[in-house]
Amino acid sequence: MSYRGRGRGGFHPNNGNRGNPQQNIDQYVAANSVPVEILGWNGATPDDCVRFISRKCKIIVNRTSVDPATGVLKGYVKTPKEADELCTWSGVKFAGQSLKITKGTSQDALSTQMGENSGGSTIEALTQFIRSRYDQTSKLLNLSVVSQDPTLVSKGFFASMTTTSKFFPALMKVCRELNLDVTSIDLSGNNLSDLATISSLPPTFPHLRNLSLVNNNFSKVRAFETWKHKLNYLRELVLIGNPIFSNPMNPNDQITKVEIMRLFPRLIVLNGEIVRNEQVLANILTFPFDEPQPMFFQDEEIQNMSTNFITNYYKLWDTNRQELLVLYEPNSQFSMQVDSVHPHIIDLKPQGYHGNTDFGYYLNQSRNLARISSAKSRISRIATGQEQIFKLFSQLPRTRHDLLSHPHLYSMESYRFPQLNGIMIVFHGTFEETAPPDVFDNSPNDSGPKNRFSHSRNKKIALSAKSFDRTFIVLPGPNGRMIVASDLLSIRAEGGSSAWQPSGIPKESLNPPPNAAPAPAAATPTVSDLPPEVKANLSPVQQEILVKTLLETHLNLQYAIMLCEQSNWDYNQCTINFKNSAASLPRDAYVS
Amino acid sequence: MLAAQQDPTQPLEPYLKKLLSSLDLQYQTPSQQYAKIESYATQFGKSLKPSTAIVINGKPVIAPNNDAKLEFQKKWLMTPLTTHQLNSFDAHLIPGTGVFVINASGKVRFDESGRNRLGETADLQNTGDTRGRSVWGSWFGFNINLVVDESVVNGAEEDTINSYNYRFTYKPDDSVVQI
Repeated sequence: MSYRGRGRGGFHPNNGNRGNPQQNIDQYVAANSVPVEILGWNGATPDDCVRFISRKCKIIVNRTSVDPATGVLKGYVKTPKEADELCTWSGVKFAGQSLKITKGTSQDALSTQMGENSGGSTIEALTQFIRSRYDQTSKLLNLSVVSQDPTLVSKGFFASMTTTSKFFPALMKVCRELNLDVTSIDLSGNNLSDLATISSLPPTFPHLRNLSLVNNNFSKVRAFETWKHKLNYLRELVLIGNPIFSNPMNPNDQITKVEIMRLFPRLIVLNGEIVRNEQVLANILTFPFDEPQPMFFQDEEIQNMSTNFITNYYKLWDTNRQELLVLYEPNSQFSMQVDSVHPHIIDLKPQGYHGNTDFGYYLNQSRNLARISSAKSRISRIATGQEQIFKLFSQLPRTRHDLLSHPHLYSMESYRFPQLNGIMIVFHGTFEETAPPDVFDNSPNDSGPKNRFSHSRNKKIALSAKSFDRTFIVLPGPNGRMIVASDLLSIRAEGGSSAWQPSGIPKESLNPPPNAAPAPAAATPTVSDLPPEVKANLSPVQQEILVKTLLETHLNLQYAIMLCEQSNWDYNQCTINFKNSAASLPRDAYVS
Repeated sequence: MLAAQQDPTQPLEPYLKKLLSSLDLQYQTPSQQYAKIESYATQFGKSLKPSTAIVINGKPVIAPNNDAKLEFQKKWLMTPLTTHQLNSFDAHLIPGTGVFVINASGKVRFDESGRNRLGETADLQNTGDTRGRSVWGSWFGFNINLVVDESVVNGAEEDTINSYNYRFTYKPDDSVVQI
């Protein structure tokens, strides 16, 4: 632990009878430190981040630590004012990411200041309070005039200024843990003049639609700047009874309105007045193409070919790549590229301190043509024919693709490639690296530009989850075998799968309890109800399994077939795989 | 020179960048404005063919009049302003077919100011400000797969794409624009 605070020379541990040094430290800490929380720092080390903040914002963050459960970088600043100022820097770019800076919620401090009450009973009291103020039907959280709530007052929540200022942060934290479905919040009559004490409201309720701040003390639009584009679903805001709008005749009101509209991109109603055309706005803010669909197959034949191909291919890719070589011919081409700067999910795992994904095993072979200009490298990094292809396969880390247990992590488009009477399969997803490559030659392999990662020679390269996009041109060969004419593999940092899940689904229905309330089936399907083109491709046993699966899961035909195929037509395996992935399937996977 | 001839993929980078930047064109800049909306919209993806197989986020673009290119351009006109950045690409010339297969990857962001490409807003308040500045959202990741005619190495541009498959690979959780 280090104490890098500036100009605080007053503390000398050897000051004789000053008592327990630890106690002095505690007092120093309590008197001088306001907690802050930083996210998005892990493009570099915590110390780098602290130094950056000190340089950029002229604020020293002390006693930093990383919460291993959440990956949040926690630290302390000297005064609430510094904390507020620091929060205004939220969004500043650091090491390729935006820092998210919020005021920390220190329930411990709140509990301490409330005397003998333990943290537990503080949380209990807050939980009880929230439950009493939450209406499940309207999804309204009524936080109006909290300072006069008799229960809270009797528990000493507003005994001093500091407990008052810590009340809302603690409240938000408890709200987050309760995971309530809230669309509206009433914060009227709380004498708020800025957003400092409720700065954690947007991250707690990012989908909030209605907010009342009636009868508070907001006097400037500037006070709302820190919430700019943070409540992106806010539809209605009421600021009546604040000095900012006290004089309806004030010609500046029009400007104020427009400025507030800029901060909340989906604001439709301000102080009861409709300020935007909702339908027009929805059109403008929606990508005009159809909603994403994880799987696209040009037709059923292609669907069968490509799902079979991918399932079998990746089984061997993860276990024994040599066996894949029968798919490649002397003309076949394979190459791999790295997009090291692709947008990706921020790693919150505790071991993720080193932040950036390590592409050390790939960079020497990467044929990213946007980076590699030497013609010699461009040519030498395509593997042609079985021998070269196998060599390159062996130079890539061993992997695990959870196609069966986590099918939602994958996405595919497959369509005809008429030039060779074949198909093009584009496969996207995430994999785990399980072991370093079988062959790893870390010396620069040709005259290509020395990359700045070559120092990693002496460093252990970390294995991690990564994402990929892979393009296959596959042709039917003799005797029903397949031939891969071209194979382009692109590697990037882990990007998750939210981009191919339809987004228009209301939050609460994203995780439908799979078997909670089975909809009454319109008619019980039997084998004879299966479409003939489906039956044609399936054995009688497979048809039975498919029907059982349809009945059990209420999936639609397309998804049920996929599930069966991915479970190797084993009914028990179907049930297991379905349970594992039901929560992540899109709504249209089910029979409507 | 000999090396450049041996490496047929050299001209693909400007070709791809041109394609992506055509998607990012602005209707009006301080120095230029298109005479007609139509002459603006037909700049998008000029290298597409009317017959191009277009798939966006796993959904085919179905053209009522068999002109997928025009249908794409009409839809693209409705997107908010974008900026694309090409991070990486790789390509194979498939022997005997006269086509390249390209797998390209990059990032794209949307203007979240509430204007469409033509500068129109949903505002009922007179903001007295029709152009305004773009408010760029967080970056999405994209992956694009193309089958293009070999003639692009000789500088051909228009009508050279046989299939166009564009997919978002990463969605930032704070995006105002919904996909």
